[in-house]
Amino acid sequence: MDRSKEIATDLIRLATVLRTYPVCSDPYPLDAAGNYCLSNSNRPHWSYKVGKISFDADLVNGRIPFRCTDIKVSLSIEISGSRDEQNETTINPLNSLQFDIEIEGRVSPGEENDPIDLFSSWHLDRHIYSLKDNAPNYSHPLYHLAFGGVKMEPMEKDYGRSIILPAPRIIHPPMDAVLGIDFILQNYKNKHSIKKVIEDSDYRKIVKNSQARLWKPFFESIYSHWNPSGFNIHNEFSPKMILPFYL
Amino acid sequence: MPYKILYIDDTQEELEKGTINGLEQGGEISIIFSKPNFWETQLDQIKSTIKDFDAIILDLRLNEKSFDGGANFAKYRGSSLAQELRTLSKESPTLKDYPIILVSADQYMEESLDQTSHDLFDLIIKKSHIGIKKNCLYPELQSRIKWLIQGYNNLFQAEKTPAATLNIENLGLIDFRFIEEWKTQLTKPIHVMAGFFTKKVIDKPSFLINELTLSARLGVRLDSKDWVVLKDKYLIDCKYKGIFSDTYDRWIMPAISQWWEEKISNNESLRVISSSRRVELLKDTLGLKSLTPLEKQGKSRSDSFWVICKARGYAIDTTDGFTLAKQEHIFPWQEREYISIDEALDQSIEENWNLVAPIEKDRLRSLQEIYKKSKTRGQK
Repeated sequence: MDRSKEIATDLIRLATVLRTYPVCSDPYPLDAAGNYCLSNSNRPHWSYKVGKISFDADLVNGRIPFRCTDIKVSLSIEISGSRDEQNETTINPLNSLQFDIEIEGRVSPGEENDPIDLFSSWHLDRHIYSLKDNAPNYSHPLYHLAFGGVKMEPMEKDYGRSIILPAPRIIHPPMDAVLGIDFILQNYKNKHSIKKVIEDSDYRKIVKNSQARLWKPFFESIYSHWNPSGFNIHNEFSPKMILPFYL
Repeated sequence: MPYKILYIDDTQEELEKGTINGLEQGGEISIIFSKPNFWETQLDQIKSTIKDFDAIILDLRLNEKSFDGGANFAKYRGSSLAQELRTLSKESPTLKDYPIILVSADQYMEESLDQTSHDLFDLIIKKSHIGIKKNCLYPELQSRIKWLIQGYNNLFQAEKTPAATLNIENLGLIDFRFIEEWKTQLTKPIHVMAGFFTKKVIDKPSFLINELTLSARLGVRLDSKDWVVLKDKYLIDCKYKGIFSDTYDRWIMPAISQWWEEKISNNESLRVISSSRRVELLKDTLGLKSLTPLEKQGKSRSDSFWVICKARGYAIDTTDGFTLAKQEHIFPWQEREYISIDEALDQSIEENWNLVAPIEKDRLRSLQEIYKKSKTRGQK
């Protein structure tokens, strides 16, 4: 099957899985993305956008503020990749990625006051190297997870004594909508709430497909640093771009 | 020439006479009143005269008053008559198909009708609401009835294909599952096609959105001076112009998304950015000066507005809403409907739609807890 169709089918099947189990109140953005991906199957790249798909986070000990509640974790993603099956050379599985996780919550500061709104965000960035770049001033792994971002900047007065810097940029394998949703379910919902979903055979197949598409090339490149002759890595996806700390 | 509507009711008192007068105001609708008759006679009467009518209004309980002032009563309900009329249409496709409207004085009408009976009617109204309740005032009822009649006529004449009926240049934008479903619907009787399209595509948020939802998604207040120019001129190619497109304006959401990417911003996602950023980009690229961004209402946290609170009519982000109950079996190309947090927390409302989806109940309960503790509840 054409890669674009495979990806679209996985998105649609995942939406069906999410409708089957009570983990997501509105999987529509995933259905819409699947349809969009399918309808673009005559373009050179596969691509889709997921507007904002939201999940209720379970309340975990160790949260700050410790009384915060009504926590919604949302994923928004725009992504595209090559439709070619590159068998000989390992290439970057994605051409573009905008991946944002937004966390919204509420807390009552005290008995007298109305609850106040809470917000934080993470994003998975794909560093764009241009030929004109010298090495960037700070470490930029090709794919990195970072806390903060554009939406948090205007709220700086609301962050109390926290200090939020653009670093560290933590290396993380690329994620698409499937892996992003799995990331949210596994990180923000307790095992009991998601047990049936992650044991569902359709769900597992869909996640495995995405891991193969996105993580296999990523880890091949990383490992090739220790075994260069065993792999044929494209120079725009070299291990040093993925992990600049390599020596 | 006015549309002619046959109205069958066993009662003709103040309320019914008032209804007839109200609908006939303006001269575009003409009502021909008739008391019911014995079953066979009634059916024959309708069959022989239906070509002169554009629609039928039926009372639900036709069997309560005698129809000839004597001992003769109809022994059937309006729903049974409607069922028979629909079956007749199905069996003879060349016989005209038409909107059927149900009225009833019955307070519990909705509950006494099962889903199959609901599907027989294009419109169901409680007699006690006519001329009084917000969406049952005469101008609205007249518009709706005329819209149904025109839609039926257009469907009857149209070639039964998605392209001809939807009149959308790039059908590839529309969810493939809707296209497949619509193709199947187009093989059925007109009243089935019409019922499907009006109830599931126009009346609910789907790939067609109404003006309120459009304003939420673009982040623009409806009273902005340049709103009309924005929607009527710049978004003209995104406007829906197929069957049932007159009277109730709709825009094609996938076309709006494409327009945003091509004309406004390729790298800032409409869904994610705030209303003020949306308006800033619209003003910069289109040169419009008078667009005012929407602002958060009540207990909303986010200004990335996307849907409308079904109860209060204002824009909210989905994370500031609760999905309504009874939406577990909607089509994948239909969007869920929401109510705002303020509405969900307001327990004084008794209407059916204040029930949130089962998956949302825990969240509602925990919000009720924290707002109960807050002593300034109600002031925000």
